[in-house]
Parts: sequence; C-alpha cells; structure tokens
Amino acid sequence: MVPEGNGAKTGANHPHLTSPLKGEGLSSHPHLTSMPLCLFLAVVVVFSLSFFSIGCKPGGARSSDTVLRISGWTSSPAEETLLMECIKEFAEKHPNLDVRYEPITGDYFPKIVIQLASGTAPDVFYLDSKVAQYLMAKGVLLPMDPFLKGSPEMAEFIPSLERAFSWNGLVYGIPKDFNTYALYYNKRIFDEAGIPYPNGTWSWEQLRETAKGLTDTRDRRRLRYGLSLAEDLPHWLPFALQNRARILNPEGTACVLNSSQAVEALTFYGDLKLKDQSACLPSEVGGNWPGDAFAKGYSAMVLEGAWLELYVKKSFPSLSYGVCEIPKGPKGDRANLVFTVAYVIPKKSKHPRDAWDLIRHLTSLDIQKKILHSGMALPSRSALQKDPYFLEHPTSMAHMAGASYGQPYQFGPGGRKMDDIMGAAVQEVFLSVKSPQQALDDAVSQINRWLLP
Amino acid sequence: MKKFSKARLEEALTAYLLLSPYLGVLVVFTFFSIIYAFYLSFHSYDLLSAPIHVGLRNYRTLLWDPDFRMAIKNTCIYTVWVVGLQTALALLIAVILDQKLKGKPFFRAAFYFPSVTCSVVISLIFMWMFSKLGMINYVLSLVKEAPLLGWVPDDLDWLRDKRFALQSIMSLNIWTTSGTFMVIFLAGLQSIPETVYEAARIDGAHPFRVFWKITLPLLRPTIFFVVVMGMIGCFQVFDQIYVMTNGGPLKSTLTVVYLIYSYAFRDFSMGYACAGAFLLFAVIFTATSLARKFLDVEPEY
Amino acid sequence: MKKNQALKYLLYLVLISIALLTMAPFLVSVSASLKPAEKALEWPPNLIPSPFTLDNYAKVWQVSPFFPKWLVNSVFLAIVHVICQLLFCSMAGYAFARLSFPGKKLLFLATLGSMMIPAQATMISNYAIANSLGWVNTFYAVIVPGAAGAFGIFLMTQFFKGIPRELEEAAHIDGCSRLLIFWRIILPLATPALGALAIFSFQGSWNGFMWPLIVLNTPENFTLPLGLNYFRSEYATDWALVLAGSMFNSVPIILIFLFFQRYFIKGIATTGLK
Repeated sequence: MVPEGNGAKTGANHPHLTSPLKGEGLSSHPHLTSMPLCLFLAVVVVFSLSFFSIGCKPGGARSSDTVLRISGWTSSPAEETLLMECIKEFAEKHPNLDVRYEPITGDYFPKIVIQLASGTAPDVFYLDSKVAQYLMAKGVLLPMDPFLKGSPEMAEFIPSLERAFSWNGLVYGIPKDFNTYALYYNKRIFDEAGIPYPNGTWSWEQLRETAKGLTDTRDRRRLRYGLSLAEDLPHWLPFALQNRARILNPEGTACVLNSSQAVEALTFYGDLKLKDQSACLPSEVGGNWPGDAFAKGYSAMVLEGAWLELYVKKSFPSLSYGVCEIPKGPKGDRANLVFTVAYVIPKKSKHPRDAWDLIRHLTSLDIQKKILHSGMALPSRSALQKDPYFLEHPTSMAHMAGASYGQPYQFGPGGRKMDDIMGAAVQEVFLSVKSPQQALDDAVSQINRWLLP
Repeated sequence: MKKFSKARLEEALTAYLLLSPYLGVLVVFTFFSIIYAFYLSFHSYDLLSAPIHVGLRNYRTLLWDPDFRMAIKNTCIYTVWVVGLQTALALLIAVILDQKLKGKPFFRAAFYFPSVTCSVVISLIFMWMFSKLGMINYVLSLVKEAPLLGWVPDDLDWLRDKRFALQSIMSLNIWTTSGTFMVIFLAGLQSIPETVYEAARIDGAHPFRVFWKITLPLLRPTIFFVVVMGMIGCFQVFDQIYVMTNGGPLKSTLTVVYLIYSYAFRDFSMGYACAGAFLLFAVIFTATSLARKFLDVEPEY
Repeated sequence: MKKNQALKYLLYLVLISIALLTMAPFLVSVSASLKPAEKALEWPPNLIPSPFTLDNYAKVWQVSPFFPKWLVNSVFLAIVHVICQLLFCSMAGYAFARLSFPGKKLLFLATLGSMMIPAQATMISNYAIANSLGWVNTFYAVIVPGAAGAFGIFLMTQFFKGIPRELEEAAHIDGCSRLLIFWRIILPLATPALGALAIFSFQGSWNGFMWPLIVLNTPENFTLPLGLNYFRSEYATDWALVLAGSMFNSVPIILIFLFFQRYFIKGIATTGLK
C-alpha cells in the first residue's frame, strides 16, 4: 500500500508498538550450524546465476532454420484458419523457413509498440491505417521501395489504400484488405412502410426524412427507429467530410475539426436522435453496436462496413436487407472512410527479404481472390475490383465503390488519440452535455496536444 | 593503531559486501529511476525515438487536461468515502473486539482475510457479484420486499452504470482493507495501559464517555496513521479499475494511476505520464512526510 | 449486570454479521465455482451447489493452454522473490544493525527515503530501464527490481538489533569472521523475523499485479493474477470457470494465512501494512 520501487510491501513503523518479533526468537537456542561460509557464498552465487539461466528466456529452443514470425489479430476463427492455410502454403514453398504465426490478443497496438521498442517485434505484422502514420514517421518500419522495384506486380493496389501506408514518398506497407461504409437497409421495414428503398444518390435530407418516416416508437415492445447511430468518431466523420470539413490543417500541425462545416455535420448527426428522435443508440435497444441493433430489427437503416454482412450471415441469416452507397453531402460531395490494414516489416527485422517474400505471397492475386470469394474481406488489389464475384454479390459493390472516393481513416503521426477524444465529444453531444460547437472546440484543444512532437 | 584501522576497513568492506545486492537494486531501480522519471517529465518520449525536450509543457498541459481533472476528481471522491468509511468501520470493529469477548482470534482472522487475497481475484469476485444477475441484485431484491424499502433498485448493471460504478469499486475497497486497519487499531487499543481505564472506572464514568474522553484521544496517533495510510492506498488505486471497468463507463471510474498507466502504456506518452506520476508523487510524499513528522517513527540512529 | 449481558449479545450479533459479510463474497464464489457453468448466474442463487461438480476445476486446465504455465510462473517467481528477499534483506539488515562503515547514516536515510517513493512514480522509468536492458517480457524484469526492499531491511535491522551483542562478541574473539558470524550465529537466531519476511514477500509476489502487468506481455509469461484477468476477458460469460480459476490463486494464500496468522497480524501491527 505504501510506496516502494517494486510495488512490494513496505512499511512505516507504528508509533505505539515495539517490535512484536522481538524476544520471540531469543528464546530459541542458538544452534550453531556447521555449514561453512563457502556454502553461504555458493548460495549467493547460485542464485545470481539462476537469474541468468532459469526460465527467463521466452521462446525456447531454436531450430537451425530461419525463424520468420508473423503477428496479427484474429477477428474470426474462419479468418484465422484461412490465414494459417496461406502461411502453410508459403512454408511449403520455402522449406528453409520456420514460419510462426503468433496472434496477439488484447490491446494489439500497444503490444506491437512494446515489441518494436524492445527489438522483439515479429518480422511481419498487421498494421491498421489509423496508427500507420505514427509508426512510419517514427522510422521503425522498413521502407519497401527497394523490394517493390523488383516486383512490378506489387504496385497494383487501390490508390487510396496505398496512400494510407506511404510516408514522405516511401512505401511502408502492403494493404491486405479494406472496408468502407455503406448504407444498409432492412427491406421488410421499408416494404411495410411503403417507402422506396434508398439508393446511392441520396442526400442528407432524404436520409433524414426517410428515417423520420420509418420511426415507430408507439409500441414499447416493438421499438423501431429509422437509423441506429454510434457515439463515436468513425460513424460521424463521413458526414463531416461530406460537408467539406477538414480534419487537420494542411501542415498537419493542428486539428481543425471544429470548423463550421464540422459543427454543422455534428449538429445534423446529433439532431437525428436529439431533435427528430428517429435514430437510436444501440445501448437503448439492447444492441452492442449499431449494426447489431440493425440486425435485430430495431433500426431500418445503418451505416456500417462489410463486417456487418458477415455478422448477419452468421447470426441473422434470415434478415432481408439491401446495401447502397452512403448519402452525399449537402453540396453533392461524396466522401467515405477507408479502413485498411497492411502487412509491414519492422526496420529491425533480421530477415527482411524472407519477410517480403511472405508478404508478396499473402497479398498475391491468387490469395486475394481466395479471400474475396470466401466473403471475408474486400481485396486491396485493383485488378479484383471487376471480379465476377461482385456480380453475384452486389451488396459488396457499395463498399468497393467507397474506396474510390474514400479517405483513409488516419490523422497524421500524432493522431492516434483522435478517435478516443472525438468519440467522447460525440458522446457529450448525444448526452446533451455540450453543444456540438463546444464539444468540438474542447476536443480539438485536447487533440492538438497530442499532435505536438 | 594500524591494526585498528585495518579492522575498521575490513568491517566496512564486509558491510558493503553484504549491502551490495540491495544497493544495486536501490541505486538503479529507485534512485536512478526517480531521477530518470523526473528527467522524462520534461520530455516527450515514446520509447521508439529519443526523448525530445519540451520544458514545462507536460506539466502545463496536464493541469488543463480534462481527463486528468476528471481522474483527480474521481480519486478524491473515492479517497474521501473509502478512507472515511473504512476508518470508522475498522475502529468500530476494533473497539468491539477489544472488549473481553470470546472468539477474538476467529473474528480477527475473519475480518483480516480479505486483505491477504489478491486484488485481481477480489475484483473478479465482485464483478460477478455486481453483474446484473449477480448476488448484489439478488440480495437487494430480497430487501426490496421489506416494508418501506420498495424504492431499492435491484436490476442495476452496477459496473456499467456511471452513477454506481465508482461506488461499487469503493465498496470493494472498504471490504478489503477495513480488516487491515482494524488490526492496527486493535494493536493501538491494546497498547493503552489498563490503569488509565481503571481510574475512569473508579470514577464511575459511562463507557461511551470513557471511549470519547480517554480512548479516542489516546488513539489519535493511530487514527492519524490509519487515515494517512488509507489515503495513500486510495490515491494509488489501480488493479480494481483495470480489471473491472477500465476507467469507464464514461470515465466515471477513471483514477489518477489508471490514467497515468494508460498514458504511458497505451498511448506511449511516457514523458507526459511521468509528469502525472510526479504530481501524484508530490502528493503522496507530502502525506507520508506529514505522517512521519507527526508520528516521529524514524528508528533512532 | 443484565444490561451488560444484553450489550454483550448485541456486540456478538454485530461481530457475527460483519464476519458473515466479509466472508460471504468468498464463500459464494467457492460455491459458484462448484456449480455447472450455466448455474453461476442462476436466479435465485443457490448457496449449496446442486448439482455439485468439480468440472470447472478440471476445465480450467484444459480450456486455456497457458493455465498450468501461469501457475508454474507464479510459483517460480514467488520462490525466487522470497529467497532473494530473505537473503539480501538479512544481509543488508545485518550490516545496518551491527557493522559500522562510512556512509551508514546516509544509506539508512536513503532507505527510509525510498519508502516514500510510490511505485507509480518509478514504474515508467523502470520500464524504460528494463527495456534498455532487454528485460521486457522476461522474468528478470520482475525479479531484479524486487530482489530487496526497504520493508524487509527494516524488519531485519530491527530484529538484529534486538539480539544481544554478547553472542557475537564471543565468537568474534574466537576469531570468526563477520560473515561467518552472520551466517552461523545471527541467521539461525533470526528465524521468526525471516519467517515473517518470507510470508510477506510471498504474498507480495503471489498477489502482485501492476508491475508484472507492465513488463510481462505475452500469455505464456503471465503470472496467475495476470492470467486470471486475461482469462476473464477471454471467457467473460463463464463465471463458474473464472471463479474456479481464481481459487488456484486465493486458496494457497488463504491457507498460508490461516497457518501463519500470527505473523501476518503481528507484522501488520508493527509496520502498519500488509
């Protein structure tokens, strides 16, 4: 309870008491041990040595093969199985390599940073676009340009994804897949209300009016809202971008997401719930996230990524829904967010060449196609944008389209706290604690601190 | 003379030999460490690149950081309630146990044992008890049946409710540490000489009066000690927050140490976190030195 | 007199109800850990597990590949911690209690001072130090910073000072060296103090959370408290399992407490701390 360097127990002495131990031992006789002094010293030595031998080294025995470690997170067991298969394929082609998949559970990014700092990072690891610029600017990742020169087929990725992993003209990551927002709608609810399905050309007003028309909260046991929203940054940000709000100033030194355009967008977003009462938060209806509330039939529409499709397929297979591009801004602007993940190599990797080969394999056209056809993720290669798969699965088209005008979900090297802080601001607006202007002003001043070097 | 000084030298060498392992730890992980922490608090450092000097910026921004303010506010509320209640409870039990009652060792053990248990385990147990279908709601639903108690809530999700999350963790802390302080009070009570009471008894004073006029004043240093120790413990609360709520919901259980931890090891803003840690250190250091000054506990040297 | 008797019963009533209150959370969780998984949150909760099952305890071992590792890690770290503390603190304590050497007063004051530094003030820089030593995610980072501490040194110093000097002086005249005296005369006498220190160190290491959390990053290196927290996040809904896992941590320490209560109570009363 009281301070000490290692957090072990410490003590301050108590005023009233003499040592209770005093006198206890004295009654016992001093039986002189025959143990010689050298034994004592030996014990000291043995224990100092034991520090350096026992159980301190994780990892264990090494084979003579080159060990290539790859880390990522697991979003679903199916995805993990697929990745393992691809890795196995690679390992079979490279018998000299011992490829180890080491998934990271829990807080992924902090753990990666810790490994980078201690020089124990895996040779290949997933990196989310949100934090990519931070690591790229820090110079802890390996630029891939020298490798890219020798592999022309590695330059055929969707430009907005490539952009997410480039810094100062160098490429640091090969995007593995991506996601964008699309508007999901529940066909049954629309049919019942006799309202035509949304399409990709909607404006904010159409979204707002339709949401109002679809809301029906008369029956408390059968609540139905037009939309389900989230109190976070990513769900709101597309609206701000559609309204031509900028996130950072051109130099990237200050956040300007409290501009009048941003405030307008947050006002619009908040009013959907606060004024119109035509939107719900998932927590109000017993859902964990907006897509969940949608899948459970509490809302007629929702803005989500393709992960919703997977979720519905698995948990609510009977839901009849459609997907289209998200609405345009008041001035007709299209904007979307691109969430993407890349494979990167740490600068300190001992086997950059092998790591590169592994990445090349994992992002090859074949494997990308396989992933697309498994329905698990959208492929990052431009060649696959016109794959026949999309004819069979028109719902994925809306997400694919978003990539052409979407911007990566990232906010510069100092922007990794952006979504925590902005998320809190959106929350404050929903709780009516602050006005949109006030909430954004406060958030921006907090964010600016993190943007400093 | 030469022999004497040789003996002295030998003794000194032996002393340093015996002290060497401890000194190694002390110098590196306490003294160097605290100086390094102080140095870092004037820098921006994220483990990945060398520290950048930023002067007083960390301290300045910290004072305006809404999260830090929130954490201080929560920590203060937490401290006031926990210290107040646990001290009162510990004193009450100690005074009762100090009467000549049977089964004292049993009760003492029963009250003390929560504090030997791991904070993580206790947190897990309380998380389970405070969950929506947990024991607490069940007990409350029984209480609710009683007349006049119909207003008692029995369907709260305690740890996910921003009105009650911090209070729930407070109750856990009081439950855990009251026993520890009870033992200290008990020792304090027993060190009051019987003769003091005898004099009062001859005067025929009422037991409550005796408690108020004699026991309490004599126990004042112990009470002071218990309060200071309790405060220090509360300022440092971390484990329970980390396991049970992660500072949520809506930052209602965000405490100073949890915030420092997450600044350092989630956001890798090490310098900024060090500045926070130093402010905390200043508070705790003041509290401990005050305690020492008032109690004069330094062993004679 | 009758009034006194009534008061006495009232006091017993108060004591018993508080004792029940303190023990209840532990008792109900033991009971829940002996229930089948789906009964852990049954409504109304049953105190007597029926059907009674030990499945959770068996399942804990199978469900997580790391569970046995956590137990082994915790035991290993606790043993090493106890040995280091006993050895290094008694060595330092003896030097402070019996030997005179230049810088003694300063060092003792420094030791005093170090107790006023909260762990949180040094955890970040200690992490940075551990990182630069390459100790992150190894047991060195857990063992070395806690190998000796002010609390243990005070305990030992105080105790050694209580031992009459005559015992050593006789040996000294016989020509025994200081180290030999320490090893053969002083240490055997110090068994009660060593016992108390051993118990406190064991408890500190066994229950330690924050520092291991900071320096140990991968599940195979976790200690039991870290593992239990990880376990909870993985099997959040299976409370019976989580509680059963918790017993592996709490039962040993509670048994130690019951056997060595005396040390705990006395230690805490002296030092004011657990």
